[in-house]
Amino acid sequence: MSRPVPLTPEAHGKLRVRPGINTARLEGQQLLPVVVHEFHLAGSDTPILFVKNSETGQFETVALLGLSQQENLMIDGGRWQGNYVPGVIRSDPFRLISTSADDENVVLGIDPESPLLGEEGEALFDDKGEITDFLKGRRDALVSYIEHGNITRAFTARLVELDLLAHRELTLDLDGKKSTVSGMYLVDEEKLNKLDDETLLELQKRGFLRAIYAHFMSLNRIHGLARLKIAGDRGEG
Amino acid sequence: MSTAGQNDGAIREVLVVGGGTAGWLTACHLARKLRPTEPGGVRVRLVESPDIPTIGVGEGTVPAVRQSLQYLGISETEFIRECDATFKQSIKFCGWMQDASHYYHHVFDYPQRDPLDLTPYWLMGQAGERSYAETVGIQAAMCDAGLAPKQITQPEFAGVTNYAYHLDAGKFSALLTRHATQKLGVELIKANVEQVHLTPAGDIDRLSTDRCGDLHADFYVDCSGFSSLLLGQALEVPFIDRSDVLLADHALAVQVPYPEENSPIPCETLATALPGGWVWDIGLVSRRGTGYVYSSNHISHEQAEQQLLDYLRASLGERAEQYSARRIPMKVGYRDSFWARNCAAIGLSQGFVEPLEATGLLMFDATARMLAEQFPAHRDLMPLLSERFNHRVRFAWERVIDFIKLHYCISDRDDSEFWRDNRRTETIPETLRENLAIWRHQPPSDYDFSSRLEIFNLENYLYVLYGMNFPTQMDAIGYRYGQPADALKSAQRIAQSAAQAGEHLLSHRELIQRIHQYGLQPI
Repeated sequence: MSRPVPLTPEAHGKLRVRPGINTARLEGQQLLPVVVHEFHLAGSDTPILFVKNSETGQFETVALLGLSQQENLMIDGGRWQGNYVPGVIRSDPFRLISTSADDENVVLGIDPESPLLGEEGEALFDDKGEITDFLKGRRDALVSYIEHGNITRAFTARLVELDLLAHRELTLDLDGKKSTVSGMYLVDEEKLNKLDDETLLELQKRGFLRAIYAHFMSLNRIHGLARLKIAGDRGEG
Repeated sequence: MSTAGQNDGAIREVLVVGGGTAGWLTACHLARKLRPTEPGGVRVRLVESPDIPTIGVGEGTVPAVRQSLQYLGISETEFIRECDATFKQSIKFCGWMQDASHYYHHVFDYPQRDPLDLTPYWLMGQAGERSYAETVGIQAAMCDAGLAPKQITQPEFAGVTNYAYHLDAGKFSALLTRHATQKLGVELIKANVEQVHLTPAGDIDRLSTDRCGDLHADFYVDCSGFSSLLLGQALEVPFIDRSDVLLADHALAVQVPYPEENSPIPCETLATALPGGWVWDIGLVSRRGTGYVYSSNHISHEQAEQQLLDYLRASLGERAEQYSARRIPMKVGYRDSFWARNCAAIGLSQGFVEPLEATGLLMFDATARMLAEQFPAHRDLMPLLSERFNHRVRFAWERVIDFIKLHYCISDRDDSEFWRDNRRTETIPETLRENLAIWRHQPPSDYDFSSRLEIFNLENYLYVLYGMNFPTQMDAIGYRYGQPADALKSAQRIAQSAAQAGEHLLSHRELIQRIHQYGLQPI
């Protein structure tokens, strides 16, 4: 994705956005950020895992879309293969841009090169240069997505604090060939079960327990990815 | 009144006297083992003078400190942020040989010995042209490239290479204070000890203080520094002076800035030899701790000040003159025993050598843990346990002195009496002389370091001996090493991974900045 630019009626008054998914930018993307509020939905399509950001070392929650780096098995023929479209994809082509170092002040921005932009679809500004209800809706969705991101960070921080995450290599059998996905972290179910009642209740009340179980249930979806991989390999061969 | 009044021989209370790094490290180790907050645990108290300010000198450590921090339950992120800590992968010795451009690394990674020990091949010139440290591992090249020893994604205390830290000792002491009192159940008493009272039998009975009355314990740990208030003064354990071996007797210490705010932070301690001794240069986050260790029998204090200033001018120019150094007399040696009656000494009260190989914190930490592990369950065990403790600690000090002396006595510097005197046979301990006699004809072996209590081992000796071109004659034993082709291949492989290390590692300063911003994960 190219660098987002601030959205203004002067520059973008005539611009329209058509509905759909910008799959071009997802090609070759093995990991997709997801927020805690969508684990149960995204987790019905793909595994939800924890990885470390290579720049900061901090944990992030992601949907696993491929079995090796630069592989995305969830895009096929320009189409998203899942039942649920994660929030980060749905927010395309809009972005919030920080205008101060502390992320306190943000403005609405747009990816100027998104294929979703053009002369068809929904208008962003009306004749008077006021933002349309469509854009208002998208802006509010983006703001709440950012809030969900903050809650997700609090979620992972709490898991780290409780020492619940564990490094795991996921080993798969792909048509007789062993394949390993490394660098992934999971919640350790044994450690979770040993938490005291008070902590479990706290996790439940904050909505974290449900997310943890959605994460557990999603893990089996790795076999779905393996099937897509095998089908793809056979199709190509 | 405390339970210690019951005369059943159980040890229920221990009092640590003195609150520097040694005192707090000791209190942490004791509390971690003796569990003061558990029923039946031993009460651990520390009495600290409210009047003695702590001095924030920059200090080096060795990798064992990582295990200790982890063992004590201190987070690496918190430690790095609060102690101005930086990473240390090596000691870089500059000018220790006559050739002024000569330098070598004593790195923390052990020489790679798998699949093949390259040392004999390197000695026979069959493992390439690189220096010894560069031949047997990647870390020397990483230091020269200014790379950090770990990635931001690696968990706390894990690294690509083995590492220790440089830290602000005053801040480290403060961190240990908080950890000991808030997490480990150590009780802090702020008072000045005025008098030590003995029992008729000669044990320590109690201490009188200026503002907290009398303090009594079943066991005392003397961490009072050079004054050795309990072990030296009250129990009159004599001090064994070793200035006959280690000739430096003073230090000039000064904190200076980096040349630029964002100058690279060296990932090693710099130890630069000068005519009358050597200069330490330790990079913390925003300043450097430097100092000149010298022999006042060989140069005057004024000459020492001038030589230190010249050293600092090389990096700071005229600015170097703004900083005035503090002169510290050094008492080199150790006590005749380290545990007498119901009192053990940890820290400078136990012994001291010049900080050439970062032995200060190392000895505090090693002996504090030893004391905690072997803490007497009962009064009657004290004579036996103290005998063992004394034997072990004495052995450790003697070996430390051997190793420090090695750096001086195999130098070929001939520019001053100081360096020539350091090679005089009568200044070299017999154990070291014997080792060197063997190593002239065959490389050192693990069997030369067969005690589990060695502080410095084969690997440390290899880096220093062969960093300083020690002439082991291989002609007579060359037949023992028949894989020169494999050796060369192995050396090439190591050189290759050294060249690639930079692709995955940040610069030292950049990693420190990211740890301050994002922290390291515990897993």
